[in-house]
Amino acid sequence: MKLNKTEALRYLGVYKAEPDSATDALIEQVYGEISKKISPKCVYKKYDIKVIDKTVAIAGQTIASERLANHLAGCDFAYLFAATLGIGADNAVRTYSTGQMSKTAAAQAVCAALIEDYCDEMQEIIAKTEREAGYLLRSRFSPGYGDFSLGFQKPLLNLLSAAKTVGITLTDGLLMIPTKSVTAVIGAVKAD
Amino acid sequence: MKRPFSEKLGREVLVFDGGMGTMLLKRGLSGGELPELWNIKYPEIITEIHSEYIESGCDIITANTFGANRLKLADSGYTPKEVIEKALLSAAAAAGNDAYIALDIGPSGKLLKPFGDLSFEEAYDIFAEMINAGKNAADCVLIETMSDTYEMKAAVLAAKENCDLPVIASFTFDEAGKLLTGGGISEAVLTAESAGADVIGINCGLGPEQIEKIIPTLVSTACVPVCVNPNAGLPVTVGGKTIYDVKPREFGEYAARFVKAGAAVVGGCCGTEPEHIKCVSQAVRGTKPQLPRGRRRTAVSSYAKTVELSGAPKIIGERINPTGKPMMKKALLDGDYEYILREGIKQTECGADILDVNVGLPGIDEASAMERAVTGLQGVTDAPLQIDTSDIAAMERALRLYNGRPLINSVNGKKESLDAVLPLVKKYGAVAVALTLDENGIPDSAAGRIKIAEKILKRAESLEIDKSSLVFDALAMTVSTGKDNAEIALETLLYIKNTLGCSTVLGVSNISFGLPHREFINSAFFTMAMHSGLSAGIINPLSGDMMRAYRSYCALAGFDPGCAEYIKEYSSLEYSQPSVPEPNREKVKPAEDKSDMDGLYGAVVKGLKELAGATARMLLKEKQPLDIINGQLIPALDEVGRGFENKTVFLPQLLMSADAAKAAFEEIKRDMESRGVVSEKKGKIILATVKGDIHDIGKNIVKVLLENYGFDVIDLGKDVEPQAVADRAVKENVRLVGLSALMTTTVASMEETVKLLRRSCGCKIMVGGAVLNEEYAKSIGADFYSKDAMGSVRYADELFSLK
Repeated sequence: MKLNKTEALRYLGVYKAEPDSATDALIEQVYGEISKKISPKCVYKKYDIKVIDKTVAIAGQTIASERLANHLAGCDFAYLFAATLGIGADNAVRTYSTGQMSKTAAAQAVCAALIEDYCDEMQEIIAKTEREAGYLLRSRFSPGYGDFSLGFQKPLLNLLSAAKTVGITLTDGLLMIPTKSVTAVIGAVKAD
Repeated sequence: MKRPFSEKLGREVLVFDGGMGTMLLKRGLSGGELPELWNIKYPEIITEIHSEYIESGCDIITANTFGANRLKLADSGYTPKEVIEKALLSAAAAAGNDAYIALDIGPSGKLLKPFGDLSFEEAYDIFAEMINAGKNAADCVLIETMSDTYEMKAAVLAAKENCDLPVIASFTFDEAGKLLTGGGISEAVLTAESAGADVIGINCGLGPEQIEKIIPTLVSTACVPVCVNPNAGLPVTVGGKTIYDVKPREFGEYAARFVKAGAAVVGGCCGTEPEHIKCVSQAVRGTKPQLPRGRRRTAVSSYAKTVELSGAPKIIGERINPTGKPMMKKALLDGDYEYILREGIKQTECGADILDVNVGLPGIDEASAMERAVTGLQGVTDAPLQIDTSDIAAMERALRLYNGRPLINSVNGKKESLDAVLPLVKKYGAVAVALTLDENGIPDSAAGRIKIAEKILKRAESLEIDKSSLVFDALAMTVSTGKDNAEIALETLLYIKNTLGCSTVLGVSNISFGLPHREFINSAFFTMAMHSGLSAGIINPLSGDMMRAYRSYCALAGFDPGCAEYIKEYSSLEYSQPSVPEPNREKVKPAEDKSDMDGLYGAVVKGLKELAGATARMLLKEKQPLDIINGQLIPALDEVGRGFENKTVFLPQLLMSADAAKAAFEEIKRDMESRGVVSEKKGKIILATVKGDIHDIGKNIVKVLLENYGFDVIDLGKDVEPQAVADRAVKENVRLVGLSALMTTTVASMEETVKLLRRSCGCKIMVGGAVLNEEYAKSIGADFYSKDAMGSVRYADELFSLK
């Protein structure tokens, strides 16, 4: 896993080609510290799906989401996917936030970039196996995006036993802990 | 009649059953369905499965109650009591007199604060409810598959306080022997044993092959019998199905090896079936388990770190203590816990192994102050804490909420203290600092102090508290009033260490009261004490002299192989000293020129935190605080703020400047505090991240900026109930409340908070957060939408300038 610095800068609201040296040093320092605290983990499972009208049937669940249905149109099956940087990332951010706001913000941005990169890496592993079997993966589609209800977090994480396998749990408000976590549905379509 | 479980435990090898979920899946349980509901739907199937396991030769069956807690059953239409009672009926129907029944307690499914949003006491209640529902029909309590020491502590305490059954505390580790929350075997064992677990276990997560590698560490750490319930291998996916592929015979062979390695109870977890258990039973039947191998250690732990108070001397940071520290005192009285947490973090960065926490002040509710300090600190540092209080209520509250094996400071030889404190040491499995004083005061001879130490030891032993749970303080008294005081303390220390065989501590700096340049004496005495066998010094780790004495001693005494620590710390000292950059005295003129880039103004604009602090310290010798604030700090903040608004400065720079300004303000505050000057604030503002939302970085950024601009910010934190915001706004009579929400799902609670505020008080409300915009903010009834942190500063400034 490597840091995509441009991504991290974008999360920090820095939209210019070259960051100033102080910002660059800040990001490098925080990245150095954070990378010792994270323990990325990932879990996924493959399910048959059925897309009917504006709903998706998967693993005994029916999801009413037009956006998701469109995204998965033509797919024969899909993966439920969950990945996290681990609780160490949250702990590091909490420690920074007692009096070091610049590091706190930088750590948030670095972690956001890292989890995306980690998801890409993991997805590529799945994609490789599927390519060999003649399937192509669609991009990740996450609960809470568009009309895909955040409520699906619960069954998704349950189906993956995510609390036990990778340590992802939900708050009452359905937000994930560790906060640097990603869940998604990844569709697979037959390659022509 | 069965003999009680506790009579067999540890005397003969006991065999647990295998997976329940595995058997249910075979009989048609669907993925995502709650297995515990089958207790109600198909009780006879549950009995049948138990019977199969008993026939295969297990001694203990696990009732189907793993997830029967109120959180997981919330939408099921059943209560934990109903589900658990049915589970135990099914178990009893199978067990008769042939098997013991374990009441099974799995994780709540949520993470505890500060990691997640479940409070420790709520977790305790959830587990207590399960235990009360099942205790009368069970022979033991099995708490299993735990990957968080804090949740395990809540469950073990709930079991210990609500029933008399033996408690098996079983963790899930990864291949490296780590818990998901970051702790290792040492922290897991120390936490569970200190809370009162009768058996320590490992289950799930791994197959026997991986677990075999961890077992030597586990059995050599645990002081109680060890239980091992592996999965039938690591899960593999075959044809879209998850299977475990260690065959029964092989599984049984592993079990025999586990017993040989020191396990007293063996069985299986996911993927194991009656055939596996049959092989286990045949392989271990009739063998005697070995006695627990762990030695009682004078060790304390946090969720992720163990510190042994033996071997190399350790540093206990003394700075979280209001005595003689006006800033700390003010922070405690104002409820400014962030200051206390920073003080803790600073000490660990300088080398503290353990942090002493003393929040005792006249007029303060010490138990609740202690709770906030302890829970706050264990959220930001993995250094174990030393709970320093004479208030018994505060001590017990902290012992309960502490995530790890606690250290308390202190008990002493007085009857009153022994009576009140030792039972707590016993109950919470703590390590206690024991002061060698009693009703007659502090003896002025080593013999007198040793006598008290022996008295305390005897009393502890009568309560079955092992001597490894005591750390004696030989009491350093100032040499300015008694020339033999150092000698008495050292002599006491040597005897306690060598003859009584106990660990020791000293409040080192007491040796120099009343003398000039106390660091000289303190560091010399510290070296002498370490040489006499001191286990830990309670010192100020921010003092260069003390840490130099410490690291030099460790190098000289062979505790620092290759002098690695010493070299790491001091090899570049000559070049980088002092570690805080020194302001250029020539260039920093007491700032007539507002935009002096070499002075404080420049340090803030450039975001140089250490330099800003140091420059402020220097300026304070010559200038009034207000002149520094208005002449340099505010103009610098304004320049950066304007740059941010004009998009020539970006967020990281804005925040680096804010951090630098904050460092300067801290120096100014310290200066004013020491001279008894009260600083004027512009006005009070309440900030909160709304209910349901746990993303608080935006709110925290706003807070830092508002504070830098002189506002008194009352930070209610994240996930705050609407009513709590309204109540506080009324109570404090504030003119402005700021709310933040990051998620679309939580804007509803923002709207509710706004409504409540409108009903109860006339304050203005500003809102911000990623999902909001001007229009949206207006539609939920806010007065002002702040698109970024500077926006809220400008709005507040404008609002408070109107009289």
